[in-house]
Amino acid sequence: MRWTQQPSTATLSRTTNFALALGALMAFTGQARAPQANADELVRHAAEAPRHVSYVGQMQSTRWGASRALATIVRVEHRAPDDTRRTYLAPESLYGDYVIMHGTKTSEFDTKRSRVITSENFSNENSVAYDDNVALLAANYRAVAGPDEPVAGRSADTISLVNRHTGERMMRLWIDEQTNLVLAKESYHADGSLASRMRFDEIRYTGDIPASIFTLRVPAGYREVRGRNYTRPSTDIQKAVKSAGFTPVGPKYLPDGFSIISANVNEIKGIKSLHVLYSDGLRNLSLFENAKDAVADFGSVAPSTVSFEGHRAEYVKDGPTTLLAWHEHGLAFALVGDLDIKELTEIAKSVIP
Amino acid sequence: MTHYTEDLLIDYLHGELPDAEDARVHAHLATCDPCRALYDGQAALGDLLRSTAAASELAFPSMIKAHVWATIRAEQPSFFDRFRVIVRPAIAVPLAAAIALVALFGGPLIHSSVSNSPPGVAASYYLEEHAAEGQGNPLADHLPTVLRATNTSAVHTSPALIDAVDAATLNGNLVTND
Repeated sequence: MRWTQQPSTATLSRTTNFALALGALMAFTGQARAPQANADELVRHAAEAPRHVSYVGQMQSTRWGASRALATIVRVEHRAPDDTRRTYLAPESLYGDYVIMHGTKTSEFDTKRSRVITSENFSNENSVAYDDNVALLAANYRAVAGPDEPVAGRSADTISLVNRHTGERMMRLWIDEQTNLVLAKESYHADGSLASRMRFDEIRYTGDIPASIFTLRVPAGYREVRGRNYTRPSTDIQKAVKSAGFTPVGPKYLPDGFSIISANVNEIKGIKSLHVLYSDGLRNLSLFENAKDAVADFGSVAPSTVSFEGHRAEYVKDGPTTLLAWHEHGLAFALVGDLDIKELTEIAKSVIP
Repeated sequence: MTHYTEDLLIDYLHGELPDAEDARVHAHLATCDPCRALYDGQAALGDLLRSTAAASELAFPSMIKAHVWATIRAEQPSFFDRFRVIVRPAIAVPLAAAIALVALFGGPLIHSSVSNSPPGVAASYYLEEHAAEGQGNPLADHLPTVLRATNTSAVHTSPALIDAVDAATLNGNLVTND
């Protein structure tokens, strides 16, 4: 049972991050980057870039399922370090709606119904989890530099992230040569097929973006609706497990490279649900469990089924993410991960009460 | 805390409330477990009826249908067949009445059985929670955790379930990749 974190690399990575962030800042302020920049460092610079680079642009993103895709086009205004506004241009049903993110706070402006849905997510400022993820990314993925390719009229370095354990390419990044911002990104399923793509159609770097467009104030005539406030995840795994109020079960098997990042307990409809987050630095895996045998409710969605160890489980796919749900011995489980159904089933098999 | 009536929740489910009332019910359901349970029960019942209706609407392939019609037309109706046509209303009317009674008085029974089943945790909750905590990942997209759909019925069904959800539910948010 894996309820303990593997040796944390947070302290080391925090120091490294500071140096890297400084490097990114220097790159943005005009100093030339070393021509043969190490690919691993380039990826870390890219992860830090939004905290230092302000821009305005238009971006399209697509997530593929087995036979369909969900696509959006948004206009993005980003003012470093953490003000972002996204205005939907497509699909038609979202046209004109916009989302403003400021640190942990998000407000979704529904222009058709004249209402604002506000929510808060403290994962955005969990620096310990972030540092652990950065260290895991370096430990589990090899960054392989490819040929330069322009994106949105900008010169970009291409980097493939190859899993050190499986040898599979899981992500490809197009990183702006001048600013280190990720201009395009593709993620792949384990079989190599495309799972999601993000790409800027146009981008302009500017620090001259008025603060007023990032205001979270509710416009006149709009109603405020409180959305989800996400619990602050804890890196004290044992404490979170104890607060669940039942004896939870962890997986005996995890794919190579995955380690516990955080845990928290939420109460939904009076049901205490333990959420443990694992990561290999690029892909995340969540294990949810509750002792009320409250199984996943798929609503009007018809899930597929899979059987293992005498259990019948249901699953749905969402681009690179799969949700697998089952129950046994009075516990209800849900595994959500950027993994395919075979890998999730292997993990589920090892969750033995 | 006051609770909404079943009729009002059904109107909310079908998107028939004025905007202001719709927003109030939306906010109330987020905090009121009894109303939420009633709403979920109605939604589950609606899904059951829709799936039953969809199953009965399956069309025969045109070649089979043509063959069936050709066979029917080729046959001369027997005395028994003609008698059955005559008495069909006599059978069908009481049958329809019985179905109507079951629908009228059996509804609460169906609803209560749905409400008494162990409460489920919405699949969209798991996906949203996973996406939200995954924001600590250095290469995460940092997108809003919920991409809203504009129709009421999709509020509790994550539109991100692109493989499983009916394209029509998303008001055209989906583009086919076939």
